[in-house]
Amino acid sequence: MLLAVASVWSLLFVACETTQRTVVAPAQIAGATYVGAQQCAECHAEVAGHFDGSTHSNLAVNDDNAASSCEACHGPGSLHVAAGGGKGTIINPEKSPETCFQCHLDKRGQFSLPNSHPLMAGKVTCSDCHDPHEGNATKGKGGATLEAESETCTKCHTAQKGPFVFKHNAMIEGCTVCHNPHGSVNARMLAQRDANLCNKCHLERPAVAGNGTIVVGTEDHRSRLMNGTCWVAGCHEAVHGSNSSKALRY
Amino acid sequence: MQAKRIFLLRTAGLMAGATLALSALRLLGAGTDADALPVFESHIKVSGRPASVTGDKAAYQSGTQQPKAGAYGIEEFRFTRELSKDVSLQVDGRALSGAEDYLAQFRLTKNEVGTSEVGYKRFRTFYGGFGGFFPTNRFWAPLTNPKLSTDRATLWAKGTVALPDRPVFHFGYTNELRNGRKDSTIWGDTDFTGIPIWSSNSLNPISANRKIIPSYVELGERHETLEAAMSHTIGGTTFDLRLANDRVNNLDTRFFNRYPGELQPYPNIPSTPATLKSPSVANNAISGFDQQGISSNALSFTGKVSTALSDQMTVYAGVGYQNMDGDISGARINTLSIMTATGVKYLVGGFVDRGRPPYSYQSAGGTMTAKVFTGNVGVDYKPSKDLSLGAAVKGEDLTTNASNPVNYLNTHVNLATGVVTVLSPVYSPNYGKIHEKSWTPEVSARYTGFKGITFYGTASYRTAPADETSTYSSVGPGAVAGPIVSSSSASYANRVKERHDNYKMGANWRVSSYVMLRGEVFRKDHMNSFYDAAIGATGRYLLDTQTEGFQLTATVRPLLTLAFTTRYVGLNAEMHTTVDAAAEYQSADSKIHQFGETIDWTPNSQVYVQGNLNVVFDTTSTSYPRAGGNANIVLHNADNNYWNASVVAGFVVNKATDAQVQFTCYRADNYDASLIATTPSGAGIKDYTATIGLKHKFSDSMAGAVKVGYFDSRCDTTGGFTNYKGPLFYASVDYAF
Repeated sequence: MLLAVASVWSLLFVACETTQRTVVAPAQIAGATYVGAQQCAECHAEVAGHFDGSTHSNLAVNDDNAASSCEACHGPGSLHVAAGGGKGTIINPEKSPETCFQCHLDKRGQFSLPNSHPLMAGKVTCSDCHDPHEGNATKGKGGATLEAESETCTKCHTAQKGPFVFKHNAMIEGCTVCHNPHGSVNARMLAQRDANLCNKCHLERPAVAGNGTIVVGTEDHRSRLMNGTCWVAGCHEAVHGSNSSKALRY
Repeated sequence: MQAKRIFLLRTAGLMAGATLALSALRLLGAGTDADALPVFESHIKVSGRPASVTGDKAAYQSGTQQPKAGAYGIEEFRFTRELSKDVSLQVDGRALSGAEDYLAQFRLTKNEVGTSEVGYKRFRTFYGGFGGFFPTNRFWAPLTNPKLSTDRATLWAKGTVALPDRPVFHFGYTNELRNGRKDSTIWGDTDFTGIPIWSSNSLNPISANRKIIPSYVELGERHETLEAAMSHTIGGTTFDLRLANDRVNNLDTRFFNRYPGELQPYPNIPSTPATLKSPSVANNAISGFDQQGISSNALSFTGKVSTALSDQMTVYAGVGYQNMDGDISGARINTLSIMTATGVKYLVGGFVDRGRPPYSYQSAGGTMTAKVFTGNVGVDYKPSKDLSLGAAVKGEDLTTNASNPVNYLNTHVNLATGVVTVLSPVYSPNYGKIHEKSWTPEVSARYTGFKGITFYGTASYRTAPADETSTYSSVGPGAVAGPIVSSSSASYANRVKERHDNYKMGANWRVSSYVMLRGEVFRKDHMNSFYDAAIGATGRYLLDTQTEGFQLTATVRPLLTLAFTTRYVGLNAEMHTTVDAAAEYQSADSKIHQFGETIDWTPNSQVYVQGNLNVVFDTTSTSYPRAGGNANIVLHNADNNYWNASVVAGFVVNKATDAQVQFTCYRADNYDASLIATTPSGAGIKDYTATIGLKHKFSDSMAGAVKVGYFDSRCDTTGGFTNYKGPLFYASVDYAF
């Protein structure tokens, strides 16, 4: 076994002994070194000017390490500076989510699930929903910015924006109450795939504890839930809001 | 034998030693890239990704977002040219047939003047079209028209004028389209579940009916935006103005089937004596569609100003106004199949004596309006170079009005005679108005006074009282042989109160060049209450939600060539409801633990290995197990546990060739087939993919890549009906010009 491992190892390395080339994992720039945020600001003043108030500015620490600011995400910038910009000299997170995954490891796992926005297929990018350079990275998330959180979703999902004649008040809390936009094991990126999703807000105290009822809307829904989830055909189909049924039936 | 073993060990030792020596030498020489593979600026990359899928091709497409027939064409095209000393042109393109992935973008830049850009892009998203699987009789009903995909396309033109020391102007137009067909989780009913059906209801404690028939939606959506913006800085003051017109035109139609293949006999099977019924006579088939349309036009204005009063203090303010109006359309047309004494009748909006209403309607023309005033004001104060403080408040006044009167279709059938009578539609008004005023103060702080450490925190408090009024009338069974009737129109007036408290604190500590630690704790305390002003305390609904969590990230680099990044996210949420006069009740308890690990190993400059692992424990408990009795066989906890992992290794093969080996896997084991008293739930999936690829430089202007691999996906949730597997191929040629 030792011989086999050593042989493979040796073949692998001896084969490339005479090659002068560096290979790196995705989202790294081979041969580049850190230059510091001030170098970046010389050309990207607009971005740098807003960065101090952004969520990601909290990541910078007070030391001499240049890698704790712009280059923490964009990679060492020496080649980019030397070339005056250009393709392949700097990491562009819009082209690959690997930069964001370096810290947001959990999001790599979520976007790798079968039910997720097609980030891994390169059809959307992290910055389609998040602004890493200015303000709250998650827009309107309880803060005092002018934008609302739901705008992040409804700019693409306009059918769910409303206003509806009868709105589902869960929409007040935001889309993420029911959906995990980064990915879920469940269809439609649902946080839960069954009636537990609705019960979170709608389960009510039964008349007698443990009496075998599932009380929703003052009625026992046990037999109905036996047939399927809450939003199936004939039940509460209009989950985002309805223009014809106060009970969000259709 | 002994001598041979010693020889082998010695040889292995020598080779290992030589390898280590070479590795060390290579580390010393890291950064010498005389043989670097080229990164082309102006180039065209042509690729092909054929597919050979065994199993469910729709599942393959939705799971991988790759077309079953493969994708071929121009994967990447870029052309850059300096047209003059200060004018440059950049053209980007992509055209992958099969994936229907297209891009054409032209960008013209003139230094110190501005840019103009026009473009078009489009991509396709695939869907599986699954319904539910029932394990008792292995019931599985795929869609008969499984070509499910939607295309998102965007056409845009935009320009920026940025003259030195002048206001920067921006103009833009986008036209986004979303068309195609996607699946829906609003599944229809079936009685073909293998559960016995007796003619006497009392003998059916477990219903045979399960809503697991798949359905789909035809999308036709357009969103146009025309905008003009200006930004200007005078001294320490920056102004931003934006004027935009948004137009939305959507018409989405969901098609569904309920009880397909079922038709009750006439006369119906008597309950005495109790006899077993075939599922094909348990109910009557219904097929139909539900169509919802909106056409809206919104004008919005945003203005922001920011002034640096000193090096320490910046104040800012903003206002926003949006005025939207639009039209609502809708139709829900159900066709009921029903057996009468004179044969089968097919009725739109059909009902029988004292029967349930048909829920088929047509909109009589609806309208909606929305007015939103938003404003904020804030200050950023930096009393020292290490301390940053921020305070802001946002106010919003939102008013929405929407009405959509509908006519319920009303067709009576006499089962004894087979006579069908089309009656006058039943009118039902629908009206809703919301007026909400919200205030959100927010404070934030950051301190960097300790070397290598940053502390930060934010807190916000949102309160949003609102008045909601609505008018509604339901429809229901009428007199024998009479029309369905609409209840008298009722008006509702809800007093709504929202309160959202959000807190977050965190710290980053660069312990040394080898260790970086980040931590953050957060808490959200949200309360929503609704009181029906007319009913009082017995007409209330109150939801109280507390969410607490924290996330920790540690990056440790014990060696120059080795890094570990570990992240843990933990979240605990409780929700409590109070309805009418009842006491508070805990409606939900959610717990999530997410562990993530990335290991980067670069033994030398010509090899890298990266491993990723995510393990998630995610459970939500609502009624189970507290409900007790038969309720506990209807609903269990919602478990969303999974783990996924990937390993990628790249290495230099020779002067002109790099190789990459990749392995990914995903596993979720939440499927609970024992819940036959309801729709079995929980995701149970196993996915594996392994690939090996080579990238080769043919010349300074040409490179190529090939990749081969294998994928295998097995799904318990769908009873294995959506399994797929097969080889994976990819080849590309990249040519610079």
